[in-house]
Amino acid sequence: MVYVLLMLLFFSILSEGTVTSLPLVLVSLLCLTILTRDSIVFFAAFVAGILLDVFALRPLGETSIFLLTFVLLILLYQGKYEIYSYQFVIFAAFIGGLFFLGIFGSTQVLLNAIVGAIVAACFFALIKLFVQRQADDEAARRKHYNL
Amino acid sequence: MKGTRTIFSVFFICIILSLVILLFFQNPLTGALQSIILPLQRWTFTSVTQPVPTQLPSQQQLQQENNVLRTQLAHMQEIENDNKALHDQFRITTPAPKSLVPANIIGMNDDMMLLDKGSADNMKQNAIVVFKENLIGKITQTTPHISVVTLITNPAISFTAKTTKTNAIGVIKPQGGNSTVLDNVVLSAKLAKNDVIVTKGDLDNKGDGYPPNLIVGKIISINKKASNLFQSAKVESLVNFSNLHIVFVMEK
Repeated sequence: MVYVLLMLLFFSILSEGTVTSLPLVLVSLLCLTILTRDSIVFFAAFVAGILLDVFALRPLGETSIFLLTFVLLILLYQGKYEIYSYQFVIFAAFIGGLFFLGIFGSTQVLLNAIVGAIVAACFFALIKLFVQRQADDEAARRKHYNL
Repeated sequence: MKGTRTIFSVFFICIILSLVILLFFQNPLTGALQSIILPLQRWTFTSVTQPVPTQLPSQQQLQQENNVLRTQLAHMQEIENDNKALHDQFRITTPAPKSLVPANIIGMNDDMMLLDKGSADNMKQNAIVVFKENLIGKITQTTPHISVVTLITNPAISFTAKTTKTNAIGVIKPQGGNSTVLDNVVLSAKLAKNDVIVTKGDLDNKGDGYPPNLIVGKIISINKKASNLFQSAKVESLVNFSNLHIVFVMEK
């Protein structure tokens, strides 16, 4: 699942760097963070930020700093709130998107942030479905081998 | 507690790395990474925006043909105007560009376009970007291998333009999205629907600005009220920017 999300992150970088102004990288990182809850996501955020800066001709490192802070906040929130929920995903994607688009000078900030939140909810639904299916498969396998 | 400590340590390592790159390694890294990423970016853009070869509906075909004919008509009218002016012993000096440099589009969002040529290819800021005789925008930022074009639909852009049939002069003011307005046209001037708008030309002594007679679009509706000081008209570009794959940069 992590590899799927890393692939998703890669395609998000390509899309956001060429054809869309939706905060897809932010959304993919959000999903990756929620699923892994590991500090390794920081490295993904760092690389994604650098690549996005190259694509968008921004000073290198700017986007990385934003994405790293975003991931840190999510990881710190996991102790206080249930981050594996639709409410959190939509809220985090919308607020993160608003700040991201506002800081990096996109047009139609509100609309893009709303669409970004909807995309995040869709990604999250797919992740949940995938995780659920994996858990069911594992349970069936255990039952089959009487583990 | 240990988990939080690990999170903060990795975060600080990455933040420090980002800051070091941001403050000290801009130029060498940007050029190197751009030259690596450029083919990937070009491929992505081409594969995403490649038009599907299907039979065009007849109305769309007619619309395209109509646009071509309008462009030709505008061109003919311009030649006619030139002839008339010459007969009147006026000389129209069109500062022709030395040459046109083709550039591939490798990215597009909102009112911006990325080209695969940069300062290393002699791309300069404020250079005008065209496609055939249509004005596309101007270069607002250059890096060694990539240039950023601000499209004429961007509200930050404004320039004087005139109609080809009636020579009514106004100011092009993009409204965001795809909506552009020819504003500040005096009430006494005549505006006509479907009339083609061209740049009036406002080059300065450094060669910055817009050359004359580049097509901006055609009038789709007119807003004229007797109580207003000026009249305005909604303008639609003859070019669909999202269908473009190559444009030409006018060398200064």
